[in-house]
Amino acid sequence: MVIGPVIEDGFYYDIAYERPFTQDDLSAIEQRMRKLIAQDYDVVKKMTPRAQVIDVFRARAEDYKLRLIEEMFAKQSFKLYHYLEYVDMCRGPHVPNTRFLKHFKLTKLAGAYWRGDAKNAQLQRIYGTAWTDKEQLEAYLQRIEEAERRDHRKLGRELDLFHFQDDAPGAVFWHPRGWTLFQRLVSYMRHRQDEAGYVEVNTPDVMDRSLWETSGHWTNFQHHMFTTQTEDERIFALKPMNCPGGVLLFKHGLKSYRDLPIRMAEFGKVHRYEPSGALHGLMRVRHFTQDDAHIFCTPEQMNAECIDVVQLVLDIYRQFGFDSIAIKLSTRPPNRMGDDTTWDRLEDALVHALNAMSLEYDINPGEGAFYGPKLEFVLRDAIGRDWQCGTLQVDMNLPDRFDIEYIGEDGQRHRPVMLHRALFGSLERFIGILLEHYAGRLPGWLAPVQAAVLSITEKHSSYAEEVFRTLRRAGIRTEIDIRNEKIGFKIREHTLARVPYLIVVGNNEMANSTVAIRDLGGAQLGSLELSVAVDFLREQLKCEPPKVN
Amino acid sequence: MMEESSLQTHNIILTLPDGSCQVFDRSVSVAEAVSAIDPKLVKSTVAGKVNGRLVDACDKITHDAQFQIITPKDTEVWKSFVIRVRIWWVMPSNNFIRVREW
Repeated sequence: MVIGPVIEDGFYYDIAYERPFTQDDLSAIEQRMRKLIAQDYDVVKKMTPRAQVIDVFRARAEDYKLRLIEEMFAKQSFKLYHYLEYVDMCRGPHVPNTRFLKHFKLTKLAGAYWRGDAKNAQLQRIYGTAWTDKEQLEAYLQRIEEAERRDHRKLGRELDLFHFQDDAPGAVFWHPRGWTLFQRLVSYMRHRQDEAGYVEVNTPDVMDRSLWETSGHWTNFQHHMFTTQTEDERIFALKPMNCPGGVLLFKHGLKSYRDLPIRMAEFGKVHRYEPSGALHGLMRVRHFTQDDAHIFCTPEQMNAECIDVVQLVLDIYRQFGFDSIAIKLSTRPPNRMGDDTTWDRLEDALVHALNAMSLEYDINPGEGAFYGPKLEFVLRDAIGRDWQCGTLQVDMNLPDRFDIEYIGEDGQRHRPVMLHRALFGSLERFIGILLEHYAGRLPGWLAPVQAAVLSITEKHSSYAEEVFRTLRRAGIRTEIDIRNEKIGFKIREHTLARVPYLIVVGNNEMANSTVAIRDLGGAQLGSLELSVAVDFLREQLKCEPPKVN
Repeated sequence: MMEESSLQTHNIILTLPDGSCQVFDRSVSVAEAVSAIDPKLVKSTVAGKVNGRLVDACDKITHDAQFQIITPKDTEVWKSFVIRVRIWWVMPSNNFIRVREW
């Protein structure tokens, strides 16, 4: 036995075993657990001195437990929990009796490494879940089943959006449809940012090591950066963040108070080396695009800027169909830079923005970064899962490290306030969230393919092409399928790809210059004249995002 | 013996979430405190919360404290017990590289 913590909605245990467990093992273990639990025995805790704990685990040949004890060298006594003849150590608390444990299920198997490091021995991980009563357990199991049905990796295949392959771990190969969706998000955000007074910039992907030393990333994240040494023996790193680039842009040329605020947006692709075990579809990748923006302003402008950002975030999330948004405020941590007066001012600015908009929020005391407080925006999706996406963060560190200034009204040099904000966070991940939220049935304005024109037989091909061109010209993202396949087959295929409208053309349609429209639910919307169909589709697909108040 | 008698001289006052107090003339375990406060809850007590910290039902309470009985119904409490993660690529919008704190 290695280690087994509580996680969200359940638990896991890592076990060192000579071979991977099978599904049969899993059900055998589960059965045995049920039998033991049914005895309703007491769980006994004993505070045990170190030497004795070592004896206990040595006698049980629990090598990993001994290693854990070794690592906690300062600890003189441990809590041992006795489950009949089994003993484990834990910070606790544990249930006092197994009668509380009746409603559980072992859910899945996975490989894991000791200390999460692939260089170490491989372990077998068993995941499980436990609830207060049968109803809660069943509701949860139903929820994960639903989540599997919506898995964005599966949808990515079915909608033909993207794929991954071993040649580029953690990097997305975007297919035409997927890239269309990606570009929809970019152009949407660009439009919103234009309206909100942002400028867009682009900063280099590869920059000298010294820059990362100045920013502090080299010290902290060196091992997670992709680096390269060139022939002139300089070391360069692929950017893991856009911020230093943004700061250098600000620093270029003298800035006066009249230039502020500068709202500098960048769709920057960042690169972070993550262990391969941590990668997960679009949700966790090594190479991703941030919808980053850095706002440089005077301390006086800060309140208004915060309000604008919060407004924009909430507005945009609603437009994407997320109505339940939680806000978390992370305040000053014990180890921090800057004095308390400054922290008061920065935290106040964030609180003020929330209050001004009468928003409710939770406080995570002490969870801010050492360089400033932040707001996190958490979306709740259609099946009740929470996703943290956007952040608004105040940064006192980079302005100091890069010594950026503006000339104030008084003719003196001042340090600007720097705000980081991202709304989608990572575009790749946000697309994953959208796909799962909508179970692949993206709203019309986002759907990469809005309509597909399907010919019934070969003799309808040229009319199908005419319809296809007309819809394309009308700005509807349309595909055409004139393959020599049965119409039923074509309909199934495009339904699986979640194309909102299928346009079927056969003899009748060709003779009358009409089209037959069918929606994703299979409902026949009748035969419409082509021009009427175009208007209908444009209206239904809302080629613009919905209005929200 | 000395220790036992010195403990007995101290009353222990537990303040419950509703503001009411329960006084004990010696240190008590969480389970004992529950049986004095509400015997009906003894069977469903999984743990106690003493000054905001979750403790085992068998743990002794030796000082005055804020006290809350934890039963399986208190799901929010369990959520807070989930292993804390910290965001470790600090700067913004990095939401997904979280490392467990050991």
